[in-house]
Amino acid sequence: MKFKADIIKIFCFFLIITATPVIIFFSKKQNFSETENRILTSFPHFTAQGYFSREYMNNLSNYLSDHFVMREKIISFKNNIERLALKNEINGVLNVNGNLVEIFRQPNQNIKKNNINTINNFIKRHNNTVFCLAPTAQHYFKDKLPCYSYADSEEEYINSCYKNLDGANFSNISASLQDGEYLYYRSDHHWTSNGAFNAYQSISDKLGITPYSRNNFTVSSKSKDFYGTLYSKTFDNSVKKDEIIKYELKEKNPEINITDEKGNVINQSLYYPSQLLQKDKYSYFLGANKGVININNFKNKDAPNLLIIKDSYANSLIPFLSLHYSKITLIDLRYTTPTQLKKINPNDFSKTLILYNVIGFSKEKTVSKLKFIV
Amino acid sequence: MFNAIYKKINIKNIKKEKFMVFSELTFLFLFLPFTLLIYYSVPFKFKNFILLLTGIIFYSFGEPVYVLVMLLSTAIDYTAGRIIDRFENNNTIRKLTLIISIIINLSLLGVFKYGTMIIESINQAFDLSLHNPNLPLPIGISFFTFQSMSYTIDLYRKNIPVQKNFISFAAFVTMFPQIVAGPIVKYESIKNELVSRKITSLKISDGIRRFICGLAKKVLIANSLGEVWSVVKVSEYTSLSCATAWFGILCFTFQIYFDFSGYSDMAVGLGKMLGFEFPENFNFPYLSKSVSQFWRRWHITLGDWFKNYLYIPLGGNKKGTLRTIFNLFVVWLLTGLWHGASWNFVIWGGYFGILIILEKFLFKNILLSLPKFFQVMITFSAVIFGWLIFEMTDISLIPDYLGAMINIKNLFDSSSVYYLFHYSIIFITAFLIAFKIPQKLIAYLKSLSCFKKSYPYISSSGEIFTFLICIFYLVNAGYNPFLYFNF
Repeated sequence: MKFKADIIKIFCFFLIITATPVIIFFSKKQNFSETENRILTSFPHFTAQGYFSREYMNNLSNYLSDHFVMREKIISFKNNIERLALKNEINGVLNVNGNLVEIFRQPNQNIKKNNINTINNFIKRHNNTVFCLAPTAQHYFKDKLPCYSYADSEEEYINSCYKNLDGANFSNISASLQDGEYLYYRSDHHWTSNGAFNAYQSISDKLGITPYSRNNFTVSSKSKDFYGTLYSKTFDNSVKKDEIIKYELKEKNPEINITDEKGNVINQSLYYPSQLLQKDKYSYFLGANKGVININNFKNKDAPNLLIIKDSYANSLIPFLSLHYSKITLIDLRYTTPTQLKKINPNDFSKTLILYNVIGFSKEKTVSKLKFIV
Repeated sequence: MFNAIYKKINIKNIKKEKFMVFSELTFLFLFLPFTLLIYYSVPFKFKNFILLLTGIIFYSFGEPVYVLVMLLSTAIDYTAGRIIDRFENNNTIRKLTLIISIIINLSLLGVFKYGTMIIESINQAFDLSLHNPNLPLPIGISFFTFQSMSYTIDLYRKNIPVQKNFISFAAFVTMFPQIVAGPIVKYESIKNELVSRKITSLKISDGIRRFICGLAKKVLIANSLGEVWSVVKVSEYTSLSCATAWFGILCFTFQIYFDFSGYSDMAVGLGKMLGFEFPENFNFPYLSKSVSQFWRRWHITLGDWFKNYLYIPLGGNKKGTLRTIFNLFVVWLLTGLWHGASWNFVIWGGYFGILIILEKFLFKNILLSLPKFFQVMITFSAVIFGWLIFEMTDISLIPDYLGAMINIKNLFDSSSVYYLFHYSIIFITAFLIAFKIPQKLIAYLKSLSCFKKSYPYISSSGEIFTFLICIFYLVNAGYNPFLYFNF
């Protein structure tokens, strides 16, 4: 009996280690990982230099890993096993009542100190600036977080960032994102259009605009098939898919296009419907992240201009803000060079808005590039 | 702080140069099937050559340049062996050759492993600024130098016959199972197998079982517990809560055991698949009833090596109490030093040296009179504190960490809840396995008549299932959704 069992086991073991590489090598491969947003390693060619620098071996290793059989299913299964062992937090994300929530833990006090310094200095140079930190889903679910979540308070963090600023220079929108339906995606780290709408209502005061109320908009669902960044981190299939929601003004249809810094038209509207067919559906709003773009609303030729220093949260806020300005210039400091920044003059704009989400801001070192905008 | 650990795992998988270890996809799915296929196919007279060739490939995967260091050490000891054998009646030449071989091996070790430590210590002590070339450490150098020195010393002592076949000798030094992390295999223990070994299905089956056990220990347990310690270790000790401090060092206690014994298991398993019976390196060390016993159960082959080739030549315990104490102290300081090129390792070795001396000469009877449970707990506690010294390369941090461990004012905080919730199950599993509890249960079930027939099938399926789970964990390690800025 033991002999038979041994032989079967030996056979299975060898089958696994020989069949797997064969399958990996001969199967059809993807070049790009939508969930990791990176190009997958291709089979490395052997060169003497690659060998001695160990690059060849690393690439071989990455190749096997990147193209492994049923990779995503395996990762999903592994995460389920971990949850069975009560290791509920997967890659910094917790499932709270069917919603994936990224947990905020401040990584490094220095980043906050430096960022606040940079922003305070900027405000000293340009007093018509409004700084706004957007809370994330963790704030919305703060009463539902489990006792073991070991999370830092976003509210405390936000308040401490505004501490040394004049009231006119910051906008605390946290209260508007505490109650309401579907303000944050269940599987993505961004706020939904509903959340952005609430933020729009709350931030308008400091921006000096009068927001349109809800019944001025037709609200439609553009996709019900969205699994976002937090799904990519956890592969938690128990979470319901997300919806991409569009708010369209009922009257006075805006005529909007997007141009780059040179004035070339990039897109004829704010939206990228082709993204709804891809995995990253959040890019429906304004497309992929770029350094400097301009939102031009030709129906508002007499309206003021707005400069926004932002991360990706602002993308779903733009459909609302664009109704009030003739031009909005959006700057994502992660993708701009000092040369590009030096050409920006905040005096050309009626207001500057600095908008980041708490978690991103607490880790973002590129905020220091703000110093290049003189 | 948490992002530090996520980043660490992240960077480890993308950028950091890896040497090939057993718990890796390239080993499991490229090297191993390829090597075994060829090894099993060729007639016996070529098997040692295949071992040598694949050993070099395996080593050079992580150290493309340093593979020459390993081959140099091999060539020197082979030559020394031939000389010692040729001049079997000329004691002067034999002794001289032995000394030269030992000096060369220790020098290789000294330069590559301890170079930085030596230079920086001299600079600090004498206020100089000698240039430190910062040579990277060749993997396994502590193992293969000791392994090939065992050959020359035993040959000199006329305990073993010479190995005239260079390929067979080189295969002994370079074969891939134990080159990276042991066990330290004395030439004497495999000299017969080197020349003639039988590879049976029973051996292969046993080998697979040991290999999978070791893989699971490393990938499922050690790596997970390591997540806790890697964050706690770099945190601010003065603000650490008592529970977190304790849980942190306890996680490390099991991490290092499962990591190291896991590798040894994998090495023994692979050895069996190749037809070799390597010595055991671990025997449930945390069940030890004294520190002396701990060191006969932890990294057994190292203790063996130091006993045979240092302690006994120094006189062992045969030259009076004072000399015995001196011998013990020297052996333990060097045992500590072997583990790492930093002074805290020497202190760690010395710590155990003192405890063993005290046990041997003062506390032996007191210890034996205590109930077994207390003997084990006292030893275990001593070992845990030892690990604290082992991990703190900056010795000045030790008092801070100890302070956190006895901090009654801050017993428990939200980090403690977090760690205990997420890692308790893995920790308890590790604890039970380390203290041999599930093994005893399985042995009992195995003896029951109702299981006798089906047990081999249950065991085999369990092993294959565990193997698959380990593979899943390894695949997951290469997945990187942290490239946040891409979104």
